[in-house]
Amino acid sequence: MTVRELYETLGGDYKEAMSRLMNDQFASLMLKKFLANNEYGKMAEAFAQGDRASAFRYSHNLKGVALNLGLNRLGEAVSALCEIARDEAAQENCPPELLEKAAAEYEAAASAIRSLG
Amino acid sequence: MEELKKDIAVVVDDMELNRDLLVMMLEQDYTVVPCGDGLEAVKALETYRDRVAVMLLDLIMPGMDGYAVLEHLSSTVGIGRFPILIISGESDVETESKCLSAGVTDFIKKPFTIELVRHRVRNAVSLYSYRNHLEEIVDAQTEVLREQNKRLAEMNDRIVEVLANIVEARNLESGSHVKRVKGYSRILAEYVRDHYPEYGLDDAKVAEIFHASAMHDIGKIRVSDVVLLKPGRLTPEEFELIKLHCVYGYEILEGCRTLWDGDYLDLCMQICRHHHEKWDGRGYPDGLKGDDIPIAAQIVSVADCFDALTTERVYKKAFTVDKAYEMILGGECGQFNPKLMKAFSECREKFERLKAETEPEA
Repeated sequence: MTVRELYETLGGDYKEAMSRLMNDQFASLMLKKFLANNEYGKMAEAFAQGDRASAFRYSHNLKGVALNLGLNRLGEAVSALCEIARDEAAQENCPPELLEKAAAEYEAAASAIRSLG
Repeated sequence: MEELKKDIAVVVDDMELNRDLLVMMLEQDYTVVPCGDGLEAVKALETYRDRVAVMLLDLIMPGMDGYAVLEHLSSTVGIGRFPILIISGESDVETESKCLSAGVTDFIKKPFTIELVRHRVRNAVSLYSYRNHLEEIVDAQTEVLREQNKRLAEMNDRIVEVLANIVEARNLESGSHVKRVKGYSRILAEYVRDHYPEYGLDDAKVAEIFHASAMHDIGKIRVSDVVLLKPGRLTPEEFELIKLHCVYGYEILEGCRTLWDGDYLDLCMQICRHHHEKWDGRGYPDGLKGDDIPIAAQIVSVADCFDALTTERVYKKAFTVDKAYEMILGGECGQFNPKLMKAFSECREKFERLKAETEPEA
């Protein structure tokens, strides 16, 4: 899969992504780094543990990185989690469908990145 | 001052990916120093100091966060030495306003594009270098002004001296009267500065008295030669004409209002008008008494009197220093301020040394 195809598959904007990532080569490098860093895994773990501070920090980071990489749908899904984690009262009952949505978006992104040439 | 190249961009973000992106965006313009948290940033700023051209700072980080870095900066070297741009996922007004009021230059919101980051950083840096350049120019200009002011003040003193010398030359006096009166006045003024704080003399005032004392007899320019240069005793009428030199001097200086600043001119005028007043009110022209006589005029009065006694004039021979001291302290030349008489006695050695140094015949 090419970088352009990746963005088309994930419903991102290739042109916009290139305005942040310069070219396919650098974009590919950053996307793979993103996968390797497993920021998502850390965030999911923090939510599972009910560790509010970590959940906020990781989701906040993940949101920024995902949006910078042009993984817009993942960014939006994580952004919703980030707002929940920011609010102490709301976090007690984080709606499971939000976590599921983020998980699905992440899996889609991860598999697309793995198939990059 | 050594000019250091400002070539360092400090990038502070706990996310490696973000740092990589920013490094990639900035490395064509700067040597980028990436930092993973606030603590590293503070260390980097201390290491590179004046080489730092710009800092890009994330707000939310583990450990020392962006706010803490700002606080640290403002409590140490201060914010404003280089532009700080906040890289932030936060977009609420409160955050922005908090950062801007702390002195932050601009915001770069996530997600950021290459062009946006480059432009914002370039703008911020060029604004700062322009401002710093302006400050340098202002400093340099201020230095030039200070130098010119100093030269102007020196010129002023020279002009005053030249005027005084002209008057002195016309009086056919020995030539160094003005120089000695200035010196004696300074000796007395310094003593008053150190021992009688009630007169409020400081170094600047002492220097002013030193220079202004040169003008004490400037009014003699308007006194007729016949009277001024008459050898031997003056008639009471002639003496009345001589006495006018105080008021003449005062009037001449009054015409100089546009030339000198107010305080200095007032001091000169006081000296001209009142350097023949006496402590008991029996002097002239106004018969002022005690400390109604301005201290500068009192000081110059003693100095002038001592010099008149110890030098030869058209109407008299020079007295010895011993005799002059005896006459002044004994009230033969009219009454002076007892504090100044103390100063005069205490400073005798300095008076004698100055007299020896300025003796033209010696």
